[in-house]
Amino acid sequence: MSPLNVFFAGVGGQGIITGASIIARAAIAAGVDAVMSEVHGMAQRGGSVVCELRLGGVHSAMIPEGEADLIIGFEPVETVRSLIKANHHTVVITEVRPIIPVSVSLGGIAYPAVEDLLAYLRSQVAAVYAVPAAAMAEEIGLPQAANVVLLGAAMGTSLIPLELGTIRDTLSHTVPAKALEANFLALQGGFELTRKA
Amino acid sequence: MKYQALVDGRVGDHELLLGNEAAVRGALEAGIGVAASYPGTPSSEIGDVFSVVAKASGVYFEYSANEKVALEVAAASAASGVRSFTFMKHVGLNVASDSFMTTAYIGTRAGFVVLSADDPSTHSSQNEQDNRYYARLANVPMLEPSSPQETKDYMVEAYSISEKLELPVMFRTTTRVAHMRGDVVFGDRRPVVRRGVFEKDPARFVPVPANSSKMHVKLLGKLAEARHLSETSSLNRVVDVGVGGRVGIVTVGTTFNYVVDALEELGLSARVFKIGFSYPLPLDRIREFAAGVHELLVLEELEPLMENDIKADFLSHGTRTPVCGKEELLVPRVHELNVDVVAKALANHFGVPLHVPAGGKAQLWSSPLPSRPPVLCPGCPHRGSYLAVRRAIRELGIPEPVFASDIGCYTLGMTAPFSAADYLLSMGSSVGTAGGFDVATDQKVFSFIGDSTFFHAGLSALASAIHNKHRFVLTVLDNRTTAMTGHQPNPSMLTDAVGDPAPAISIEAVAKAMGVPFVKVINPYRVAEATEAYKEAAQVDGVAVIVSKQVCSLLLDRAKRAKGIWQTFQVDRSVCTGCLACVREVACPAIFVSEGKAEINQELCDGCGVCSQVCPVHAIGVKK
Repeated sequence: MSPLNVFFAGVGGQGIITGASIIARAAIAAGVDAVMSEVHGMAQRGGSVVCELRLGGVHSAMIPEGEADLIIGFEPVETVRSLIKANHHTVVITEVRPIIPVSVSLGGIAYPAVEDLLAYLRSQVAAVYAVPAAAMAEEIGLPQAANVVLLGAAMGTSLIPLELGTIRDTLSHTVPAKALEANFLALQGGFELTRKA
Repeated sequence: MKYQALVDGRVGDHELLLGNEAAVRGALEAGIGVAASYPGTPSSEIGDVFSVVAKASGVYFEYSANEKVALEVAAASAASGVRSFTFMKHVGLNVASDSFMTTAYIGTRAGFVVLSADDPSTHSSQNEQDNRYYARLANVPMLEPSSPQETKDYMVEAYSISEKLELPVMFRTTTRVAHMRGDVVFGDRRPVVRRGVFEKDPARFVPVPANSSKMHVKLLGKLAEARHLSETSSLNRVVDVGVGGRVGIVTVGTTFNYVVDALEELGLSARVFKIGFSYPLPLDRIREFAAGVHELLVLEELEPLMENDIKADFLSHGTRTPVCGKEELLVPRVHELNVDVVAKALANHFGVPLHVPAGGKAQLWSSPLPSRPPVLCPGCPHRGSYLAVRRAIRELGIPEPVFASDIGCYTLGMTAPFSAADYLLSMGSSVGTAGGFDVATDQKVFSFIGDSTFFHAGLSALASAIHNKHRFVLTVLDNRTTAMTGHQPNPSMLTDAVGDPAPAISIEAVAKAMGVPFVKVINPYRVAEATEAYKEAAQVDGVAVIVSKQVCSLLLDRAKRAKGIWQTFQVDRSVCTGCLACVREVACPAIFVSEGKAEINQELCDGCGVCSQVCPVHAIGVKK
């Protein structure tokens, strides 16, 4: 089978590897092959971070250029940066809240308007879901669950060949019991957002 | 317990594991009794896992002061009949190499595996040296896995080979194997032998000249045996991609994954000789393999090592099959490969079109996007240290100071506004190179080293500097952890690798005992005091040591959150004049500019308060 390629992009410390691992674990539990490529070490210190996940029958864990089926961006500029992995059929889910890099404050290249970034994404790929994941997670009372909101949104697109229940099961084995309810809310919130869209 | 499955997992169980986690399971399946390491990415998670599972598995694990010590602890354990494991990043093997070379001469009794995690493309390293040369240099066998499953399986095999040959076995991974996650099916765990007996045999274990010259002869005999094992090893196997392949491809490690995927993407058929036991190469089998194909392609990352061995072998055997390697296929000798690079090389070589994704590739954003390199974290104590040094230099009017840097998070101080890293070689090099700049120039030298790095390779350098009357200011950035690699302990801490209490060695006491004339401990969060200390230190005629002591903000934040004591700072916009001194001098990721005035991101601020001490109009205060 041809693999499903999911590319995650964001900033070190946003829970990107954790998010991707949840899908990978759920896939393995459902009998679907999964391989992941992660970034550890220096780049995690507030730098751009990516994580690549491929479901089904491939050897390399890294997605070739232009071959991502789904991009999950945790930060608008990082989402746009990951277009190198996109084609015109790619579906993009992106957080809308920017994290301004220090380089901008120090007088480097200005941070583009988020609306412009979204408009550009829409011009390049099949569908863009702009998700206020950080805000939604804050509303739930668990800011760290923004990554799970984005996972829910990814599931809502039906591109990932897994049941939402499998993701819930995996979450219940991954997050601490006291944070489970909030994580379920985050997952459901993201899910509803893209399913309705 | 996290990683419980690595300890309890039974035959046939499977787990989604990182390559580095799989290496631990492999070592446990092999029944190791001792593991020792110094942390270094991309090998760090191996130690992180041992820290958690060692006790529960009956294995002794330590973080040694450096890779050489770690290798020595493991080598002596193995000589005593205990299967032992040492692991490090590629440049760590440079540090360990003095002893490593001799372990090949004296050999081992129980299995002894030396894992080197290489970093092509220098994701987190100062160079991308190809450590496969070390297997050739030391004349020891080497294995190279392609996936987490193979990492686990090959570890078990490595111990068996090591004991058959009584030689250390080198186990080489790369970032993309170490940090690849995949499903791993477990094998049986062999019982742990934790203690052995060292039986003396000086002719074998003491390489004085009379013994060592004989040892070299013996070693080459073992290498010939290793070649025989490689020729018959199932780790070297042929994989057919497509049907009726007339082209042979020899490949190894992560490149194997790219080759198979690229062939499938291009719709090409080929016979792939996957090398797992990569030194000595199974050259007889490769020659036989080549006899059945029209041409032989060799694809490998970095140096053309397999390619050169194969070409030389074919030449001496009169093998006519053409061999295409780096130059013929236009495959670069630098940086890691990937499916795109390999597919391009193959498409070009066979004259087939590249695969185009459905709908065509997206176009990139036309203008440059703001860059996001790694930076010192919000609240990072190094920021205060660099700020104080910069202020002291400015106030004293020191022209053209030189900053000798070292390996750690603090190397990130190289960028504006601190620009506090001018020269860097290796772990501990800040101290030796500071002396060099002092003897060769009239410039004032400031060097920076971390607490873990100080014990790794700074101690002997400091002794040398004191004895040779070098003059510089050495800052030990003592953040009470080995931060960059993920917060491992070091000899200045009260706990060891497995969380047991341990004697902590005081850096300031060591410096004083060595005879450093000026030793001062500062808190980098107190900018004015720290600045005064630097002004004093800069005028010392000799080595001045400043120990900048403040726990890593990532650890501090975790502790503060757990205790529920959290504060952040905010800018009073009615007081802020928009001078942006905070932005320019502190460069904290939490501070940004909004409509000409500074603003603090409340999610990122960790409340260190350094920016509030820089603001000339006191516009920054604790958020009420």
